[in-house]
Amino acid sequence: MSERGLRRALLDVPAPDEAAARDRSWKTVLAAFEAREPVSWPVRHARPLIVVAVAAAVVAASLTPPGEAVVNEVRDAIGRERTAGVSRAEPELFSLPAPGRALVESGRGLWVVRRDGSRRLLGRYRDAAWSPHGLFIAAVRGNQLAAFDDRGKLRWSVARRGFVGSPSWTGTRTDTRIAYLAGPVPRRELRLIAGDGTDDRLIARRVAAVAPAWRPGPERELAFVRRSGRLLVVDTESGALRWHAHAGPTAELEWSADGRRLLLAEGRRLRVFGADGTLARVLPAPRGFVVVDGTFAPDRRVAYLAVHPNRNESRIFVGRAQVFGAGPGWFTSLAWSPDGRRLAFAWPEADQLVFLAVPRGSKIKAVANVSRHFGRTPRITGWCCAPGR
Amino acid sequence: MGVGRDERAWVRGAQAGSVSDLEALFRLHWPRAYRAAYLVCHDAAAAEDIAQEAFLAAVRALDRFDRRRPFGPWLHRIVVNRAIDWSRARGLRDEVELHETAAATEAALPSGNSHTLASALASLSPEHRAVIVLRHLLEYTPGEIAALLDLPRGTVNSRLRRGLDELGERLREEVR
Repeated sequence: MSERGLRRALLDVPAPDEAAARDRSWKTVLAAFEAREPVSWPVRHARPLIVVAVAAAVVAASLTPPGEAVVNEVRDAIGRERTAGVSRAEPELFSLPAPGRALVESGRGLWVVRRDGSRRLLGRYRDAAWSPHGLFIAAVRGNQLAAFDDRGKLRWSVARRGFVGSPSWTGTRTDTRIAYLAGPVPRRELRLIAGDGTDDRLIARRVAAVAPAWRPGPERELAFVRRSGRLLVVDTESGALRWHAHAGPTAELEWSADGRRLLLAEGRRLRVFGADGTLARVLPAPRGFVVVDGTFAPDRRVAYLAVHPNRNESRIFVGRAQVFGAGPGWFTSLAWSPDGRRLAFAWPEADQLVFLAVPRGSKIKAVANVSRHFGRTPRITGWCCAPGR
Repeated sequence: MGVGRDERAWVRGAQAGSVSDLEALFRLHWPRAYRAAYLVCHDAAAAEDIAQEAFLAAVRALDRFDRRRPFGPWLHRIVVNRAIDWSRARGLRDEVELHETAAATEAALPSGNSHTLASALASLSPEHRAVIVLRHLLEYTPGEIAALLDLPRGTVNSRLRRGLDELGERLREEVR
C-alpha cells in the first residue's frame, strides 16, 4: 500500500460515534471555557514583570547600605513566613494514588477523575453520589435532582420546589433507590425515588440538613436525623421504625460497607452504633476541637476529621490514633480510597488535595494549585469502585 | 488568509474570551484529534475522553499559549501520549475486563476494507500504532514525531519501519 493509499485508508476508518462525541465534548469544553477567568495582559505577563522588578530592586538595594538592610529584612521575613500545605506537592493531579474513580466537586462543578489522572467536567452539579455499583451518579443542579453516567450522559432529572440536596443511592443492579432532601427549612422533607426516576414519595417531614445513609444489604433501611435532634433508622418498605437515638449537632451519618456499624459525627464526639442501635464505640474530639466529618474504610476502620474553631487548626484520626494534624486552615471532605490504603482530604488554605497513606508506609501525596485545575475549593466527595465493581 | 493565520487569529480571539473563535479551533482540530486517539486505542469512549481532555488542557493553558506556535502539534502531543498511556494501562487490566473490551472492540470495528486496516492496526503495539498515526494520518515528519513523543529520531524511524512491516504482514494475512 502506498503512503497516500495508507493515509486515505486511515481517513476512511469510521471513528464510531464521532459526531455525538464531538457535540458532548464541545459542551464540556465550552463550560470549562466559560468558567475560566480571562487573564488581562499585565496578569498574563506578571511572571516576567515580577522577575524584572525584583531584579531591579535587588540591584538598586544592593548598591546602598540602607538598601542592603531592606533586602535582608525582606529575606528574613520570607524565611520566617508560615506557609500552609504539604511540602513537595505535585503541581498537577497526574494520577490517583489508588484504584478507582473519584468525584471532585468545585466552584466550577462536578468532575470525574480516573486513576490515570484524566478528568471530565460533568457540569455545574453538587452533592454528587455514586450508584451502588459505580455505574451512575446522582447529583443536584439548582433545584433538580439528576442521574447520569460517568461520561455525563443524562438519564433523568426531577425538579422540586425550593432546596434539593444530599442524594444517597442504594440497591442491586436491577433495583435501586435514591433518598434525598427537598423543600425549604423548616419544612425540609426526606424523599425517596426509584433509580429510574419514577415512584417519588415522601418518607419523613422536618428533617435535619444531614445526608441520609442507606444500610448496605438487602433490607431497605435508612438512617436520618430529624430537626428535633433524633436519629432514626427506618425500613422504607414497611415504614417500620427499627431503632432511634438522640443525636447532637450532626455533621455526618455513614454505614460501614458490611452494614454492621453506623457512625454519627456530632459536635465534640463521634459515636459508632451497632446495626441494632447498641452503642459500640465513642471517639471524643480533642479538647477544643469539633468533629466535622467521619467515614468508614472498607475494612470498617473509622477515620474522622476534627477542627479547632479558634486556633484555625485541623487533625485527622483513624480510630484513636492521630494520623495527621496541621494548620493553618480547616480540612474538609475525608474520603477513603476503595482499597482502604489512602485517605484523601482537601486543604483549601493550601490549595491542595492531600492523600495520606494509611497505615503509614508510603509517602504522603499532595497536589498543589488544585483550584487552578478544577475551580474554586475542589474536594473529593466520592471515591468509587472500578467500573462494574 | 491561510489556515495558519486563521488559527493564530482564533487563538488570539479565544484568549480574549471569544466563544466563536474557540469553537472554530475546536471544529478545526476535533476530527483529527478524535480519530488519532481512536486509531491508537481502538476504543471510542476512551478516544472521546482523551480528545476532550486534550481540549480541556488547551482551555486551561490558553492564557499562557504562545500564539507564534502552531496549535495542532501541541494538541496532538497530548492526544497521542495519553492514547499510548491508556493502551498500555489496558494491557495491565485483568483477564475478564480484557475479554469484555476485546469483544466490544470487535463489535465496534467497521466492515469491509477499512475493517481490514482497522483490525490489522489494532494488532500492533500502541507505540507502533502511534508513530503510524502521527506519520500517515497527521502527516508529521519523523523529526517532528521524535519531538512530540520525546524520542530519539532513530527510534521513531525504526518503529515506523517495523510498524509498517507488521501492518503489511497483517493485511496480507487478512486478505488471504
